[in-house]
Amino acid sequence: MPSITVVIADSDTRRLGVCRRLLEGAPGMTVVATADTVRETIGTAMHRPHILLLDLKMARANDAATLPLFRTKSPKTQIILLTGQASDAHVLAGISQGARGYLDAKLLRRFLVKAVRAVAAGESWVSRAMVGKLIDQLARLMALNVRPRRA
Amino acid sequence: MSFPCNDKRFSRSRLITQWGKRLFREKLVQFGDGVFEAELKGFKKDMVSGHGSTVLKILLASDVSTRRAQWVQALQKIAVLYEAIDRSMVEQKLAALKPVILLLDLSMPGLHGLDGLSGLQKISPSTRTILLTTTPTETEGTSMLEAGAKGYCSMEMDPMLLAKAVKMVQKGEVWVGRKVISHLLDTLVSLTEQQRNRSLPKADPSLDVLTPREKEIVQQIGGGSSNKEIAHQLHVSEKTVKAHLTSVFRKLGVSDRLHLALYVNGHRPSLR
Repeated sequence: MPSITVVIADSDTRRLGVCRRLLEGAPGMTVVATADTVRETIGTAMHRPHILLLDLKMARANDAATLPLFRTKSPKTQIILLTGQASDAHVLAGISQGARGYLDAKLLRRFLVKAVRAVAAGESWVSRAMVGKLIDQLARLMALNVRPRRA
Repeated sequence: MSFPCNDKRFSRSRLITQWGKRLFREKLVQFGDGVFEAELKGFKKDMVSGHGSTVLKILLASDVSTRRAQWVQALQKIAVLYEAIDRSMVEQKLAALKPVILLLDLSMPGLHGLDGLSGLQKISPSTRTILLTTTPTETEGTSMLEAGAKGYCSMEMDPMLLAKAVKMVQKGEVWVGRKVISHLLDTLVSLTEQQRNRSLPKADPSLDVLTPREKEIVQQIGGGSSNKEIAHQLHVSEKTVKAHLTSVFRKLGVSDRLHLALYVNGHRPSLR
């Protein structure tokens, strides 16, 4: 099986280092690039990585353009958000923009490698509690979408 | 009934629960067609509708007796169970019992999928429904959850997991298989994109309406640069960059950076 290619984009360079060490220590994974600014992150889209680990703060910078922008440049890349003490609303916004999962930065050691593998295999990495919020959001959007059609 | 001490360990509800559990085990009576009914005698009222009741009432609905038996096996330790074997029985018991959870076999005759679900929800709105199906599909799962189901699982699910699912749903969370979650995410993303595209300008003004300086800035935005980075790159102040951007937003009819960035990337050729 070919190696899972990963780009790590984190404005917190210490955390970026932790992620890099964890992933380089795992078999079957290659860190192809790292970035600590939004502009660099968009530049790494040329690697067409399987996975982008994206700092939620960076995802929210510049009117939250990072995630959609990366996806237009590398549509097949699956994105996992790295969150600090993020509010659910921010995580939900990131997921609505196409992130396939999110990971609390405190749990990196336990779950980072697992999450990357799961998401690379087409699964998602979200907590049960978040699923309920996803469905609420979905229902809201459905309602918005249905109304104009009926009118 | 009076209790001589105020110790929480001997609180009324706790005692009743323990009492009820014992009684429940002893008084399990079997009716025709293998339908179990708990006869809780005088304690039934207290347990089931009393204030601060800790008893979890679950209605098991399936026409297949072996399935109900499996569910009973998996759940009898954590809940008071009632059973129903067809739609009218489900409706009747929902209305009478208002159970916390309804475990519903989607292949039960006369149910008619989605319509059936919303019909049942009207009878007892507080009841949370977990759907079980022999052939789970992502699309069905998504639409059922949107319609208000709180769980959607495969019939082959491990009995241990069933108990866990019930506990999660009781807590107010949702229980679905991993595959269904992925499909939920897909649906959410495409709906969000539809929403966003609706707010993009209908007529596509070409980027030619921009001045050369504005085009430079727009290109940088498309590359993910911040105002500060652009200012640095072009040797101007951030204020100037902002002024240019305001003009760009007005000319192209976009509302923010995100739209502009996507717009630029969708229209890259005209920049050249």
